[in-house]
Amino acid sequence: MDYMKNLLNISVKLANETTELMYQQKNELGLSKLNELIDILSQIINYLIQEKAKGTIIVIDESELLNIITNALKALEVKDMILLSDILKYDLINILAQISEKL
Amino acid sequence: MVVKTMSYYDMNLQNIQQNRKLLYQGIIEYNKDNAVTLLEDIYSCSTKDADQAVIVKKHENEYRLNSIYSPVREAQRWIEQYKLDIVDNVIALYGLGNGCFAKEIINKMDESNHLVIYEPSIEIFMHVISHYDLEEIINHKNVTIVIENMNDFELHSTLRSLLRITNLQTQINCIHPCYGELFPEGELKFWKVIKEACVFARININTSLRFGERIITNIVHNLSYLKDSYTIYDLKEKLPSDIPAIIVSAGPSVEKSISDLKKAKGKAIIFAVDRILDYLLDNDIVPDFVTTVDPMKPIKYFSNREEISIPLICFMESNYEIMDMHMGDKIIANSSKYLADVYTELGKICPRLLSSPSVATVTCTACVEMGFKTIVFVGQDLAYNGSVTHAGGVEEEPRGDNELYVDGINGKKIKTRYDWKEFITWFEDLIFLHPDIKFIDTKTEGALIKGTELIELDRVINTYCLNEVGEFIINIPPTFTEEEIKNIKNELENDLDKLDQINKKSQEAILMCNKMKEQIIKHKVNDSFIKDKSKKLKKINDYILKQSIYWLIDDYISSNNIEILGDVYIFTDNINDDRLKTYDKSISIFNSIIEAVKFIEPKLKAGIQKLN
Repeated sequence: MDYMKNLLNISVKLANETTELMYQQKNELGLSKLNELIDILSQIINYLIQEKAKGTIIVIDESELLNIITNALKALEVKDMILLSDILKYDLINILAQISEKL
Repeated sequence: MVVKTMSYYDMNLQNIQQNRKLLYQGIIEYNKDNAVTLLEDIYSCSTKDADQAVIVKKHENEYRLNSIYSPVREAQRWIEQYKLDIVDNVIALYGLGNGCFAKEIINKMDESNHLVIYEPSIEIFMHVISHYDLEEIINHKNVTIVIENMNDFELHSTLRSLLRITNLQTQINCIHPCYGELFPEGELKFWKVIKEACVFARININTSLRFGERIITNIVHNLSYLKDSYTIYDLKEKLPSDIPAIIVSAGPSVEKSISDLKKAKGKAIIFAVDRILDYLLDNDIVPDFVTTVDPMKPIKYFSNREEISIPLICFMESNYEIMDMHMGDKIIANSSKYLADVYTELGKICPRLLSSPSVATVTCTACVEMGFKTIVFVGQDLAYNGSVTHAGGVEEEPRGDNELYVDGINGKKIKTRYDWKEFITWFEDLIFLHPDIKFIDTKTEGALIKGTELIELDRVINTYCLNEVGEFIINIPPTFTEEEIKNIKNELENDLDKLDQINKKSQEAILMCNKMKEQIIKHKVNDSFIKDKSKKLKKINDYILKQSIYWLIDDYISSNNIEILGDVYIFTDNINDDRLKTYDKSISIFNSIIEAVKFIEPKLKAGIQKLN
C-alpha cells in the first residue's frame, strides 16, 4: 500500500510540474515531464490490476481514470496543450487524490 | 422607469474614445464588410468555473485561446515565469485575447512599468470588446493597445519611446497562447518591430556615448549666441503663408534637380541640409536657410567656403566650430534642456525641437513647427545609387555588413543602409502625425517614404510655387534684449555656485554609501541607521536632480557610465546583495557627478565670459 501511495504522490507532483510548464508554453519540457508521468500512471494501473487479480478490494472507478487518460491523449493528439494541462491539473490530480484517500 | 444598461461594446468604446484617440478612430472607420477575414469563426464559451473563454476556428481547426476550466488561474500560472518587479520595465505582449493574460500582467506591474499589447486580429478584437469588460486595460495609463491595421503606428512609436539604456536588458516579450500558431505573420512583425526598437535604443545609447561630453562643450561654448540669435518661433511670425518649403538633402538625385531648383528660388523657401550647401552654391543656388545640428559634424561636411552668411538653423548643441565660422543669423531650433528655464522664465517660447536621427529629419520637423503646409523633398534618396551615396559622385563606405533592402518608389526593392532606414521610418511617423500637411517627394528613384506624394520638381513649381516669397528675414529682433541677457548671465553665474554645492553633496553621499556598505559587509546592519542615511541620500538626490545644470551633468553621466546604467534596476532575491550593489552603483554615479562638475565648471565660466 505504501508503494502505491508513493506512486500516487509522485504522479501528482509530476502532473503539477507538467501543467506548470505547459501553461507557460514551455511545451518541450512539459512533454518530457509528461513521459515521466505516463510511466508512473502505467505503474499505478498495473498495480491496480494486480491487486484486483489478488482479490484486494479497492473502490476505484477505473473507467473514470481511463476516460481521463483517453481525453488527455486526445488533447495531446491535436496538440491542444492548454486542454491537456487542464485535464491533468483538474481531472487527473482530482482522481489521483480520490484513489489516495480510498487506499 | 426603464433602466437601460450599457453593453460591453458601448462601455469599452466609450473608454477607448476617452483614452485612445487613434484606436477609437480605427474602430469607427472599421468596415466589417471590407475586412480581410482570416478566421472561420470566433465565439466565447462558458468555462467550468463560470468564466468565459474565446475559441477561434481557422482552416477547420479549433483554437482555444483560454483554458476551458479556469482562464484566470491559467493566466496566473502563465505569468509566474516572468519577473515583473523590475523598475522602469517594458513588457510587450503579442495577442490581447480576451484580456485575461493582459490583466494578470497589469496586476503584477508597478507604476514604473509599461505594457504594450499588439493584437494581430481585428476580428478577435471586435469580438472581445463586444463580449468582455476591458475597462481595466483600456483605462490604464501604462498600457498601450495596438490593433493591426487600426493603430499600428503606436506599436513602434511606443516601443521606441520606452526602450532605453536602463531597460534594454530587462524588457519582457511574451506571446499569448495559440497566437503563434494562429497568426505567424503577425508574430514575425511583432519581433521585427521589437528588434528595430532595440536597434533604435542602441543607436541613442551610442549617440550619448559618443557625443555626451561634446554636447556639453558645444552648449556652453554656444552660450554667446544667445545674444543675437532668434528662435524658429520668432522666424515663424515673419514667414509668408502659402509658400512651400523645399528641403534639399544630399542624395545623388539632387544633380537632376539643379535647373528646377533655380526656378524655385524666390517662389519657395529653400532649406539646405548641411553638406549639400557647397554643391548648391557651386551651382549658383543660394538657399534661404542652411541647417546644422550634429555636435561633431566636420566643418568640411558643412562648407569649404570661408564666409557663409546664409541664416543658420541650429541647436545649442551644434558643433561650435561651425557656429563660430558661420557669419550670418543664427536661428535656434533647440535650446537644450539645460537652457529651457532661461527661455520660459523670461516669458519666451522655448525652442525644443525634437532631436531626430538626421539633419534632414530635423529640418523637416523645423518646417512643420514653423507652420509650412507644403513640404517638398529634394535629394531625399535614402538609398544607394550604385555605389554613390551623395550628390557630386560622393561614395561613402558602406555601414554594417548586412545588405538591407526597402521599397523603392518604382515598386522594386532597393538597397539602403540601417541609418537611412531609420530616417524613412522617422519621416513616415512625422507624416502620419500631420495629415494636414502635404509632403511631396520629387525624386525619380530612391526609397519610398510612405505618405508622400510623388511629384516631379518642375510640376511642383508650376503647381505650388505660384507666389513670390519677397523679403521676410530683414530685421528680426533677437529673442533676448540686452537687459534679459544680463539676467541670463546672472542665472548662469548662480549655476557655478550650484555646481560647487553639487560637488560637496556628492562627496557627502559617497561617504554615506560607504558607511552603509561597511555595516552590510560586517553583518552589523542597523536598520534605523540605514533608514536615516537613505533618507539623507534621497534628499541629496532630489537636490541634484532639481537643478537645471543637472541636464548637462546627465549628458556626462550617460556617456561615461553605460555599463552601470545598463543593469541599474536588476536585483536579486537577496536584500543585502541588492543593497551592496545599489551602494556601489550610487558611489560610481556620484563619482561621475564629481567628474562632470570638474568638466563643466571651467567651460561654463568661459561661456559666461563670452556673454559680456
